Amino acid sequence: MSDNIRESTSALMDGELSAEDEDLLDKLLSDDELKQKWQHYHLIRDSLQGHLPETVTMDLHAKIHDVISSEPTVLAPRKKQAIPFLKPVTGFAIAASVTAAVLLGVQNYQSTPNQETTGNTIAQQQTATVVPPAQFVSFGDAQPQVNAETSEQAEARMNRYMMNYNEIRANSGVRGMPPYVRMIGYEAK
Amino acid sequence: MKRNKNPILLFKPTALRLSTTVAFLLALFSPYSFAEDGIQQARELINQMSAAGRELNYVGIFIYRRGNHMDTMRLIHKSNGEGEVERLVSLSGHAREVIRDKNGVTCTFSDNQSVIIEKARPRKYLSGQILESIEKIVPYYNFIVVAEDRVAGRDTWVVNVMPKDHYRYGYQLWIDKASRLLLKSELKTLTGNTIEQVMYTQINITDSIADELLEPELVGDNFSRSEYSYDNTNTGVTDSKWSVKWLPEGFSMSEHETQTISSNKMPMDHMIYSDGLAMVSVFIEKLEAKSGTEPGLSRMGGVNAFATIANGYQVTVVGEVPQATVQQMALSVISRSN
Repeated sequence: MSDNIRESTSALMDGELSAEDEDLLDKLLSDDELKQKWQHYHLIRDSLQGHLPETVTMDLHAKIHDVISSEPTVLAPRKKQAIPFLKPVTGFAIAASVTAAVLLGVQNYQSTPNQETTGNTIAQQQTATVVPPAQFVSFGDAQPQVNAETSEQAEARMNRYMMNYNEIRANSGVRGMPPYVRMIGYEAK
Repeated sequence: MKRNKNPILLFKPTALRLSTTVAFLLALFSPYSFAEDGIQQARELINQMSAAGRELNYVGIFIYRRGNHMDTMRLIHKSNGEGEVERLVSLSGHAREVIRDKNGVTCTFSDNQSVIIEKARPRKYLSGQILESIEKIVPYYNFIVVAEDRVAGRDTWVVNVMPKDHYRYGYQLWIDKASRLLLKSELKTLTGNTIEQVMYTQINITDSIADELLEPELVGDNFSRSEYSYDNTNTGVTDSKWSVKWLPEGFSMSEHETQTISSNKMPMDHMIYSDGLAMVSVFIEKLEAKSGTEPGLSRMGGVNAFATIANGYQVTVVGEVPQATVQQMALSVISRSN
């Protein structure tokens, strides 16, 4: 590929194509090799840039985090509480709206073609076997009368799950980050 | 807008050696399909990185960062014929320690004065799984060696692992050229947001590790103890009473175990799903006394969890995957029996 075309492709990517280079677009559309190069440029650029706008989810998390961290420190002697092991996305209502935002951004999925015998859907008491995509499912419908656990019980349960998960993660698959870093690094607020 | 001839300059922070990186890029655009070689190299490096992390003896100090919060930790890793022994210690904030060996894991927390012990499972994970994983991963991630960089005073290759959809996370990995150890990593969303970082500031690779380095500093004699041991009946992937109907493309069940926790007679189903790189655990427990965790999303760094309750069972999905993934999986769980 000539230097001219390479430079023009780079310029096109940066949105700076001048009028005389517009025939590059035609070339790009018809030339397979050029298309490949185009993809490579984007691949590299996208992988190196870290400045894309934040998602709704991340903004909400940041706000929630600010709210939590601005609460006053309690000076009374600390009771023996379980570590708030996983930071909940505050109350249910907010979790719901975060979820909806996330789901709206999620691409539609096709129901998987390989189905075993249908059984009772755990998440819905109706007979539907597949949860429709991008639709917020109201938990209130699916949930029978359940008392929320005390926070200690809930923490203990989640601790157990996280230990399980960490150990699986440590022992199999690709080892990347050291295992258990999140448990050691998590600071209860 | 000032025209940038070299896309590398958009990378922040720019600690890269530009001349070598430009050479990289030019090589990528050569008439030969270096792109394919680049992918092959990236995959090979990841294989080696994973093996090095498990098989070498090393001691290091690293920074862990998520959002605005940073911590430092010390890691001591020993590997010999009997397997791995590893100790991770917090150096900032409350004193916390994890020690793992062939008998299990012990986590000691000073902040709430507790010790959690989990006995090792009777089964072994084969390291051969790693090589299989890479082959399995390829359709769902893009691999590319993008640059060179320096971390902890050592030369590294920078490898990007980018997901092809919103249901998984991506990784940027700085792999030590000399040892193939992972010296820095970033967990990223598809759109490029960084969720977490780990970066070594010091690392020593040695032939052996002295025993005293693996002794716990944090002794929890008066701490409350929780101990879990599992009677695992590893029932194999097809025998689960439960099935997760919705999975991101490429995910399949790799393990299914039924755990009976000694302190609690109710067995729990634990299914592990993976696309070869990302792992997701699905825990299903019958609830006693009609109580359970409040449903919804929660997270700890790069690990998201989603809990839901129905029909007296609690379904919790935990994984190093985006929230949408754990949520959709949890909501799609069905039981095969009535």
